[in-house]
Order: sequence, then structure tokens, then C-alpha cells
Amino acid sequence: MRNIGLALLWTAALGAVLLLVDRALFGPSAPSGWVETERLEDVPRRAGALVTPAYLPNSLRWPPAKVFYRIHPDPGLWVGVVNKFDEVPLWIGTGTTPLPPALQPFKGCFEPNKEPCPASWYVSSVHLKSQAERGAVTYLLSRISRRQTARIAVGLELPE
Amino acid sequence: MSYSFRSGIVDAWICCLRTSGHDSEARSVLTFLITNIFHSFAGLVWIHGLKRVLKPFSPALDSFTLELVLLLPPVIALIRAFGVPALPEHFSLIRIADWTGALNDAGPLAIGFVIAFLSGTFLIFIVQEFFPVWTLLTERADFVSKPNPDLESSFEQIKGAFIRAGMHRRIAHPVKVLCPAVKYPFAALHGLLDPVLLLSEGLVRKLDRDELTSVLAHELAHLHYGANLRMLFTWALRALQSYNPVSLIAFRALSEAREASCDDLAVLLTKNPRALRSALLKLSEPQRDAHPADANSVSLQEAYDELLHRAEFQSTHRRLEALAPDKQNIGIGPVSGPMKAALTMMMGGLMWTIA
Repeated sequence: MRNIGLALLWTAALGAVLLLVDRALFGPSAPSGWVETERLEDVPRRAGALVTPAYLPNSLRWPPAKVFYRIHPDPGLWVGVVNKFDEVPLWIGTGTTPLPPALQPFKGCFEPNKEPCPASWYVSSVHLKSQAERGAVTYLLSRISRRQTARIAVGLELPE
Repeated sequence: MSYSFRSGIVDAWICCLRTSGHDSEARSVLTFLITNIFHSFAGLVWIHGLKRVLKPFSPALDSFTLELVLLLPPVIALIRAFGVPALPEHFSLIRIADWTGALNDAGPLAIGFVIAFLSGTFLIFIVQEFFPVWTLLTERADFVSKPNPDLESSFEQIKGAFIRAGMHRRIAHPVKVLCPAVKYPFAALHGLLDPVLLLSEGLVRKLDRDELTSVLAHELAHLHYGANLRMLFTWALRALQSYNPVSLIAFRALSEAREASCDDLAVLLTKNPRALRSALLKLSEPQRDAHPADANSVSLQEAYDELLHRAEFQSTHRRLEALAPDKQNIGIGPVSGPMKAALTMMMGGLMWTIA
């Protein structure tokens, strides 16, 4: 029994050392689920590569006013681009379901069999060449004109 | 850039909406490799600490725990492949995604170094572990065996000692001992399912009766611990992790620990460490007269023998040290079932919480 106790103690001690080394090297664990942040710079790299539009119509402002990122369980990033009325007519993002809280009303745009997409909203997707080998798809949830959305999608580029 | 524009419907939302990098095959393979190496590494460090905490640590316990280092990482990977989820990453001791991410961020030089390191370990496996075992498995043991009454009576004596000690599970069924007419002194267990004990005529001539009994006890101890079939099983586990440098270390340590545990058991039954020590010393003497007389082949063979002799020297030296009079009575002999279960759960639990 004494031997088993000592072995258990040593196992716990080794586990603690491994935990300390990992946390010391990479910081505390990221929270699970979507996190809202103010700035794009606050998005950790582990949330996935940031897609920056090379083109935006004059009616929209960059950087985005709404930013959601997620590391666990799967990395994801959604940004909401606002217009001059501080409304969000365009969301750009990646990430598996569930969607961030702010995008919950748009669930139907992705699962049209379950509920309808809000009026005048539609979703488009772009498979960037630089992301293709990693299996990533970027989505544009929009209520601006389809032509403008297509142009934004074509201009999406990964940062250098 | 490929581009698709679909208004409204995105058919395969759940299956296709995958984000950057982390789900790619390359990342999955890297994650698997790093997890496997972390598991083995933690297991090996755990054993080294345990040896200090649980003094004395018998060679049998050492071999059992080293086998776990080879066995548990693939078992955990297999369990997870069948859908049993790992701990959520923020509860894991090691966040593998962060380590793979850091490696990825370190650039091509670091990744190249890691690939070269793992490939080097794989090459070592091929050259030093795969080919020798393959040769052993495929070669035919053709030799002439002569009846040897001394050998047979020593064999019956030590076999009886094993059976009286309750270690009859593998020993009781008819085990043959053969004495090949070979000058070179060697002792080995040959065969997988129906192993035969081989003690060369050269060895039998060289050893006195006590030494012969000790060598037979050592070989029967191999049989008790699972013989070549168990060796093949652990070798297969090593082959599965042939890229893993920690499994290489564990496998080498296991080979030595097995020899030490057989020495330990032989001494436990013969109560004569001096005889085994002396037999080992006689076996470790270089054999210069056992080869053909052709000048070229002699020099090549001698060089090869010298290399082998040097490689075996350190191992034999450690075994001799363990059999020294002042080191006796530290062996515990075979490990109990509950002890095995407790150690398996501890090491498995540690590996499971790591990642």
C-alpha cells in the first residue's frame, strides 16, 4: 500500500510538472466557445487565419466593428462589417456550428431546411486557393447587393 | 483563387464548414506523432522517477513498466480511433494543438529538423532492429544435435525447481533442450510457438555443472516471461512507433531489463549468483578460434565479432554488476497481478490526461 501511495504521489507530481511546463510556455487555456472582442489584433492565431477583404464598397467601414473568435472546440472567426448607420450588412467568417450569438438569427441561411433565412439576407462561400489545401471555406453572409458581395469575395486575400 | 457564389443554400454546411489548418491531414498526422511521442516520453520519465521512489525496483518490474511504455501509447490511439474522446483541450496536461502550432510557426527549418530526427530514428529501426529480427525469423536452424547426459540432467533439475516454485504455466509442457555440435559458445531459445532451448557444445564444454544450471535457469526464465513470442509482440509495438525516439530508448532498455529479470529469476531459483556471474564472464570472452581459417574471412569475421563484443560489453558489464555479491537480495522476482494493474492504471491515466 505504501508503494502504491508513493507511486500515486509521483504520478501526480509528474502530471503537475507537465501541466506547469505547458501553461508556462503557452499561457492559460483559451475559453471554450465564441469570444467577442473589440479589435482584430486581439484575435489569437489559434483562431485561424484572418481573411482581409482587398475590396469593400464605400458604404462599409474597415476594420470591422464586431469580431467573434473561437479556439475550442474548433477554431473559427467571424467579423461583422458596419455601414455608416452602424448596422452590420455583411458578416465574413469561418467556423463550424454553432454560430456566434450575434449570428443566431441567421442560422436559417446555413440550414434552409430547418428555418428560413431572414428577408434580403443570403450566404455565399469562397474557397480561397491559399486555404484550399487546408480545407477551409470562408462564408459571406450579406444583405448588400449580390454584385458587391461577389466582388468582395473575389478580393478576399489572406494576409502576407 | 477558386470562387463559388451560391445565394441562399449551402448544402453541406456542417461537413464542409471547416476552418483554417487544424483539420488538415498533415496537421492530424503531426498531432498524432507529437501525442505519441509525448505519451512515450511521459511514460519513460515516470518509470525513471518511480525507480527512485520505489527502491528497490526489481528488473521484472522494470521490464513490465517498459513494456507499458511501448504498449499504452498505441492502445490509447486505438481507443480514440474507435471514438472515445480525449479530455477537452483546456483540461489536458499538454495542449498538443499549441505544440504543433508552435512547431508550425517555428518555420520550415524547425519542421525539417523534426522530420530528419524522426526519419533518422526510423532508419535506426530498419537497420538495427528490423533486419536482425527479419533474419532471425526467416533463417532455418540446421544443426546436428548430440545427446548430452550432463546437460539433460541439469535441465531436469532446474525445470523441477521452476515447477516447484509454481512457475509451471509455460515451463510444464514438454520443453526440449538440444546441444548443437557448434564450437562457438551460445545459449538461446529458438522458435516462437514451440520454443527449443539450444546450448551449444562449445558452451557446455566451457561451463561447469553449476554454471550450466544457471544458464539453463536463465533461459527457462525467458520461457517463463513469455519467450520469443512476447519479444515479437513488443517488437511489433516498437515497429508501430518506429519513428518515435523515445520508443527506441524504451525498447533498448526493455531488452536489457528482460535479461536482468531472467538473471534475477535464475538467481532466485538456483540461489547461486556466483555461478551465473562466472558463466556470463566465460560467455563474454571473445572467441577467436571458432571461425574458418581463410585469411580474409577471418579478419572480417574478427572485426565483426569485435564490434559485437564491444556492443555487448556494456550490457554484460551491467548484468555482472547486478550479480555482484553486495547487490544481491534486491530482486523481488515476478510482479504480482494487482501491482501490474495499479501500475497500468497509473501510467495509462497519466498518458490519457496528457493529451
